[in-house]
Amino acid sequence: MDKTIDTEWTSLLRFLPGPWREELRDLLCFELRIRDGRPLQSVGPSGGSVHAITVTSADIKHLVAAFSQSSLYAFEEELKQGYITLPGGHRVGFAGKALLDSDGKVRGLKDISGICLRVARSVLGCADRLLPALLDQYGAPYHLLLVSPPQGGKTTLLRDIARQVSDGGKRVCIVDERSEIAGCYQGRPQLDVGMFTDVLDGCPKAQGMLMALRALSPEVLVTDEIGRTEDVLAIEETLNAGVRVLATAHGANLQEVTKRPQIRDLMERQLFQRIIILSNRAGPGTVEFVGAPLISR
Amino acid sequence: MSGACFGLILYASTMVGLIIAKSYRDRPRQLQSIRTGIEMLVTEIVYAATPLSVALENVSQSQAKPAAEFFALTGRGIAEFMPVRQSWAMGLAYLQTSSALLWADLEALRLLGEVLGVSNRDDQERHLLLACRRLEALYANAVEEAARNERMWQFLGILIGVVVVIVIL
Repeated sequence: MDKTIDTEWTSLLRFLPGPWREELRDLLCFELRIRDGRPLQSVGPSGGSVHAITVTSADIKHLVAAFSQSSLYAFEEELKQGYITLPGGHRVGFAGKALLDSDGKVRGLKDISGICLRVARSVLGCADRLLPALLDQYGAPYHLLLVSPPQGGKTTLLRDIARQVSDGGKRVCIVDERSEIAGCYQGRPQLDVGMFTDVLDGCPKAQGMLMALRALSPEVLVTDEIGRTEDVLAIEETLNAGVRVLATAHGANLQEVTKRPQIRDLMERQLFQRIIILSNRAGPGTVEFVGAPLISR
Repeated sequence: MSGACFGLILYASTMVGLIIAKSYRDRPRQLQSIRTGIEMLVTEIVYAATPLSVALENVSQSQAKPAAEFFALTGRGIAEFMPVRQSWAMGLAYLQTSSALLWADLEALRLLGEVLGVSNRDDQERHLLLACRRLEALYANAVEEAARNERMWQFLGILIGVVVVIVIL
């Protein structure tokens, strides 16, 4: 997969403590790992490196305030998931002590001791070579399932497919439960997802798909990481409404994905017309397979 | 001593009286304006989950000076990554020099600045409503003091001037 990585690193520097900025100014960085009392670690194209900066509690406090704009309440729902999204679609994950509600569900984090800053990577054009195989004679996308292991590039590829389909004139709706596809900040997509795309940000997938069907009348519905029973039911509903579905699932290969009964059911009924399988074999986004699924009953 | 000097004494004392009377008149209005602003913050924070800098900017646009400037200054500081406490203190310093608010009023606001933005919406609502209740009590006190002292100072200024002139004569 061709990659032009736009790290937008400069826009992130302003969040960091003043003394760090000079040291990190020219860094080409995919991830920054910040742990209280330990050296700062970054991950770039050539792997991880450790910097001569020891993170202090004051640094962590500064970063939490800066990333949350001193408004923890505004990120309450996101903090339950352990992350917040920054302008530009960058993702900040937190490690700390979980706060549980009376049902035992996580309602937030306190005593934050670690931060993982993931720089949003928009790879415009990464779907160019695959797209002809994904569109029917009328230019509408086939129902697509994109399979890859974590960090395999499936969300990046899905975003570019959605962008190109949308720019091609189709009404696209993205149900972005974890704000990873469009990287929305205050409801606005920070990554290019196409001219004719609506985004339901932070919305549970199954609920969001049905909401989109009723409210936004999409021609193409895009969602990430399906797998639960309710997701499958919502996908069936979407397919019955004549809307094309582009979805992703975690897995190293098709066999692994179809071990999950919900996805196996979808595959056996041949509801997905195209499958893409990605791997990390030659770096993120290595295409292992594109085509119609071959699943024996 | 010439008549001009006596005139000047009368003018100065009258003006001092009027300024003090005005501060009694302004305090309830300014407290009310800040309290309304904080009630709007409840909506911005609890219902819309708007980040603090934007919420304060929105509130400032619907209020008159000095409340508007207080909220705007604080919001701008936070937008520039200043800690909330420091930014809030900057706003309070402005109120101290440019409003009729007293130490007790500023103290009630300072307490709110200590907790703003650091917890979830339920907790923020609790603190904001508590600040509103404190300001409501201060407002009632300010109205009472204005009724008692405003008119008195309007006349007391000129009266002191007259007494000073008589004593000199």
